[in-house]
Amino acid sequence: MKKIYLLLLGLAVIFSSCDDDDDDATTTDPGLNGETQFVTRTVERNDVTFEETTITDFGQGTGDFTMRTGEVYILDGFVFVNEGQILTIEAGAIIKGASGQGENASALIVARGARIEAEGTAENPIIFTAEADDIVPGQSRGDLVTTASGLWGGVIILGNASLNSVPNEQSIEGVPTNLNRGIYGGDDDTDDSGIFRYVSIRHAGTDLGSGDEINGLSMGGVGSGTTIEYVEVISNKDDGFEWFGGTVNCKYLVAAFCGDDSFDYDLGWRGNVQFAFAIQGSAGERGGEHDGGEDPETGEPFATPVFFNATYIGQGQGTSTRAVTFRDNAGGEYHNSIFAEFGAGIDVEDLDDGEDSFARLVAGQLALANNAFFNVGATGVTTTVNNVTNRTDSAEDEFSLTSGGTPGVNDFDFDTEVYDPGLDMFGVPSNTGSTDFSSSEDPFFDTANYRGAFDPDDDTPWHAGWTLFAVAVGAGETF
Amino acid sequence: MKNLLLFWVALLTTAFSAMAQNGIIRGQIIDDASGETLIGATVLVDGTSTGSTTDLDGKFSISVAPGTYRLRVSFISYETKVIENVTVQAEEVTALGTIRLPVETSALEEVVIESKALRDSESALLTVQKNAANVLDGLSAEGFSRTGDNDAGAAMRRITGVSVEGGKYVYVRGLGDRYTKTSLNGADVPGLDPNRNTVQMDLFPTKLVDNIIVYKTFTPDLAGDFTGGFVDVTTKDFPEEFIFEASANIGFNPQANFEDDFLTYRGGDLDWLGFDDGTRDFPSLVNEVEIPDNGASNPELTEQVTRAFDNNYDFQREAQPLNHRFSLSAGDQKSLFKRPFGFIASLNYQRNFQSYTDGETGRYTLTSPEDQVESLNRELQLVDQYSQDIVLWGAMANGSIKISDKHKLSLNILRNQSSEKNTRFQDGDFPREDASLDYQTTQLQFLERSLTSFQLKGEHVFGEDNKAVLDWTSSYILSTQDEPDLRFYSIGFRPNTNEFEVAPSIGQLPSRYTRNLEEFSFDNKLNLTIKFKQWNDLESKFKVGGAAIFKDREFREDQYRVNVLQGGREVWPEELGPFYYVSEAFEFDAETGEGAFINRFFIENNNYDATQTILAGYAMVDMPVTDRLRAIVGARLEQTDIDIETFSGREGNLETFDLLPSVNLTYSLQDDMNLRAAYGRTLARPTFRELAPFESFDFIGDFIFIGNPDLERTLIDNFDLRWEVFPSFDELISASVFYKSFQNPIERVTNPIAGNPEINMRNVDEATVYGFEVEVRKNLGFIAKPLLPFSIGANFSLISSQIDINPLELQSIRATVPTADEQRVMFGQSPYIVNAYLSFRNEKGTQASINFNVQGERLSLVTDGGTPDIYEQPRPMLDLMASQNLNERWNLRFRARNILNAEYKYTYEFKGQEFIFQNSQLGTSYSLGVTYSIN
Repeated sequence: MKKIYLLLLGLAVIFSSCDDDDDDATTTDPGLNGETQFVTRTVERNDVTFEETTITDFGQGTGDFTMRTGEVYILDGFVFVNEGQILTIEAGAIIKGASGQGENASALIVARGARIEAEGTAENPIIFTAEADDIVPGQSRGDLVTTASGLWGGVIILGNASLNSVPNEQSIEGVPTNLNRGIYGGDDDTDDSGIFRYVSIRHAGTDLGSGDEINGLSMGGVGSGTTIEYVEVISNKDDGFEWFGGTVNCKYLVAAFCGDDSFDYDLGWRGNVQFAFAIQGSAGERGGEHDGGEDPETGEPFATPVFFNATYIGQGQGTSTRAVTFRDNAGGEYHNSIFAEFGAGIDVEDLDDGEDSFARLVAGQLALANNAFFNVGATGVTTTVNNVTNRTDSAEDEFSLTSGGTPGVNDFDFDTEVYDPGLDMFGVPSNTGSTDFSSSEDPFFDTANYRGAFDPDDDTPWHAGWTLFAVAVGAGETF
Repeated sequence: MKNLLLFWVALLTTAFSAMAQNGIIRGQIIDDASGETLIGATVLVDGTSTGSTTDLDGKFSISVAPGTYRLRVSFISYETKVIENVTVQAEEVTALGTIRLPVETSALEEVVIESKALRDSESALLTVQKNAANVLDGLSAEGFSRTGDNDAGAAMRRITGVSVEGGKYVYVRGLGDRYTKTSLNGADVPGLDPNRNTVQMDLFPTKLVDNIIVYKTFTPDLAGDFTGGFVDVTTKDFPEEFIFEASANIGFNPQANFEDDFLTYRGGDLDWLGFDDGTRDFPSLVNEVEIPDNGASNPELTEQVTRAFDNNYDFQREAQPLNHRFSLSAGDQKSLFKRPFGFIASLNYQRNFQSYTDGETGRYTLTSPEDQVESLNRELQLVDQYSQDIVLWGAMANGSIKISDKHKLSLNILRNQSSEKNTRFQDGDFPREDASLDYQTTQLQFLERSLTSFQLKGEHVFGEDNKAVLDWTSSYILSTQDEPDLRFYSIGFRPNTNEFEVAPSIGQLPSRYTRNLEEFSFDNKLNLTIKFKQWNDLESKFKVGGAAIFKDREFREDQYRVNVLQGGREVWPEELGPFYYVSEAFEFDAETGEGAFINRFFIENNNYDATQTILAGYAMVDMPVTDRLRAIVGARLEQTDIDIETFSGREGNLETFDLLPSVNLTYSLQDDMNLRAAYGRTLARPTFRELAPFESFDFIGDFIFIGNPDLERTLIDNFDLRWEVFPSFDELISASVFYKSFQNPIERVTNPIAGNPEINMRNVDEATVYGFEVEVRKNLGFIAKPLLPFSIGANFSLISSQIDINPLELQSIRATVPTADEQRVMFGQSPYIVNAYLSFRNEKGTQASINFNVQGERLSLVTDGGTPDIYEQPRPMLDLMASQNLNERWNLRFRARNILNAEYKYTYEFKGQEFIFQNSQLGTSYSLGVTYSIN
């Protein structure tokens, strides 16, 4: 109704997406086939004049559309890039999510079979933020406090890569399950959803009712042909990044001050990540929450992603934060990484019977090597790997660890070290110490002979300039 | 004003002119064979010219001087009956009850009987049952008093094939409430629970009820939307004599009353009356300002709004008084403007307490293929403590007048109000989140329901030999359900850090809801019955009619959550107590930006308006084909139009036009033995809630429920075969088989592609239900004379149901359970139902009965994937009642309910082990009552 009103006032220039003739029942939503409205007006704020376009999707998606440098776009509710459509976002474009909760939440959803071409640069990143954030093109940040969260939905990219659920298609969390355009998963593990580079996603994660929120960047069934690198999620109310199945690889990720977990995966994701940085503010629970499968938990392929060079910083010893939890039969690997300031280290779930993450450990599908721990565990006690049991026969824990990370009953070589990596909490984390590093044959991984996300010898760390985290810290903010 | 009042008093006094010194004899004449009332029969006081003819109800009333008389009852082609020793006292009514006239077979002498042998209303109902063309079962007012049931919900458990869920919802033949329909005096009563299709039967105190009839086969004059059973509750209209009754009961349940652990919370001053007095209203400020989504955007307003709400999330433990119930009812028949005027007025109030502190709540999943594991994985296991303070009161007034012997008008006004104040606290393990975490969740609820009904009815007899009967009903019903300030509060306690925690990963942020449902229903029905004689000169009926029913519903929900600026997670030390997060001490401070604030969480989609229009017309003929074979053949047309729209503009719509044919055949094998066969097509419509395309989070079931605007109505073909024998009055033996085939049945299913557990409503391809039921009601006097005061009744139903599982869902189930069946039982369908009673009644005013009821396990919740579905386990209920008349006016009654202290148990079953989803025991309750009655 509001949109019609605007239209009548004649404030707007209106055009519609024009190339959508896709009637495939599974990619459109019944009763929702209206043309997408783009309402553009000229705004002058903070001495900058720019075009601001509000996008409202009544079913037909954005169509092939370009968000331009120097302009602002407002997502009014769920805005989809429908199957077959391409959304291009130029460096420096600002995309804002309108406020709204529940099904009025605003989010950008790149549907399965659609493409996004979002290429920012270190100097000119693409910024996703809340409508309430007073930011104009050219600025690196708006006026919202850095840690304000939950003001809009988030970004969702969906693809055709496989999941380990039955059925091999799922409806993405955060989008009503009766919207077909929220369905992801398929059998193309090399699927290409496009490029997502130098993007900062801020203040998102609005509450959706029904007990869930939208993650900063959700990737559902995204295939390995997709490029995702240099992405920051900051002050998201739920998780920072979450992978639901798929095979996409990611590099250079920052998850700062997220309300729940920084990096989360589920439904059998099998990608690689190198250079991942997570820091919790006063909120946040786990650095990594890693689930294998859901229905069933033993679904194959198993989740076996590989992380190299992660740095996860929690809220300190003695808090109820955890570095990483592997459960629901999740596998996965961490190498050359640093975990600091958590209430507990790496959890491996061990159930009474059936498949579990402990079984993945035994099978060599869960591995931890050459990682550094510092200030992890209850105050005064450092722990590295914990077997988290949901066993009724707890006396028969299949492995146990004494403090200091020495294997107990069964011997597993986690190859961990406990030392102070010399992190400057909010500045660029440095690293010293070890000379032992894992290496990988996979060409995705760059050779990086240091632990953690940042090269101690690099004067300009990769997150400088384009992340709100670095901007805020540079301005002297502490958290 | 005062003058007006005086005028009315004067008018009424004149109208109800005194009877002088005379007394009155009243009675009703029915056809002995059919149970139908006889209109125009003659009743004469023997040896005088004083007499009367019966009206359209077959009733008569004669005013005579005190004395003892003989009455002669006669009607063309019927035997004449002489009733001896009818004693009349000055200004008193002598009620003869029902007098049966058999059809004259030969020139017999007059039949002479004693007046006191006449009364027996249960057998009158049984005669109707015996002769009805369709299959029906029923209970009359006398039956209620024998079983000692207070409300219709409790009473209905005695009826063949009927089971009652939670004391409220009626299932007939184990079919869910979707397939059961309830009406009050023939008019639809809207269900009060937005997620249910049917009326809560506990809203009707039996004191107000004349009889309850359950129709099990369809005839075209009944609404087409029932499949299991159509329950018609009829309130009293013309009492034969002045009746007055006052009763008081007190009840005790050792688990609830005087129990110090009873959970409660600070409510309003009128809670005991079933109303919230405004205590639970949200502060008016919320309607005056635009509440910011997030504290950051307008801290001052956020603080103001937050402080406007009270901080009442806590609960107390406090002993409660005894259960108590009072009722008052009166009725009489007078002359109003010289015409018979009958009225009943009744007031009933009860308050009951229920509680348990040792319930269990659990959640389990099958994590791996079933051959790899020996048990389900425990995800959550809590101790459940739950207390309920339940208030129910009802007021009813019914006035009926016979304008002439052939015209009757009735007005019925009914008002029911009920409330449940529910306090629940659950705590325990949440190992999936953290093995050491102590999860705690509190729920404070006040559920207020009301039903207000105005019903105008008319019945008119006309034509030669009273051949035509026109009857109509027009009712206007308003029902409401309010849940003001429903509060949920979930936290975790971590013993390793001694901290409490609120976090989205543990449970939804502390929330407050208010929900209001208002439904208007305008229900109009008209029937015309014309009697005629078929080719063999046998009495037949032709019936046509129509109905127009309009419903209009509004549902509103508003929601607030308590939040913190950063991330929604907050941790605080144990010393500050579990409720610190929502305490005044931690309320949001605009200056610092710290603390918890209240933000609005209004979801447009959770608000909807809905309308339903049903127009129907039918024609049928009810005719003996031969002396022994009777047939009802006809069809009904129903047009349905349902529209629903949410605030956000999402719509649901259902438009259909259905032809519902029906054939009922009764073959009289012997005078007291029938064989019946019936076919009927009926339909089942989705409820408004099921069509409403919004999602709501069910805290109790912890799943999301989403309506489906694409639902279609279900068509059902019903086949019934029944053999029955009526050995004598009050006795019945019957056996039935039935088969029902469902097209597009609406079932609750899980959505296998949803990220979180989600229940959808979906049309499933097909379903079938078939079953067998037997009933015996027999006096034991035939065994030995001393057993004459004893009667037994038992009925048993065996039912089988099957629906196809959606292929996608089946695929998901078979991922871990490769051998899973492609069908499952219908939701809520019991495989068997057993009801039995033994009753005792002697001449000295002693009555006693023992009742037993149990039904087989029922599918209660369909789970995701291969995790076993949840079944409600059989719950054997044993009740005992004993009463003694102290004298003509005073009666003392004792009752014990739920003697076996049955478990209300919902379980998953895996490899022969039982995993508790929910389990509780409500304890045995005892009550003692005293009744003072006149007549």
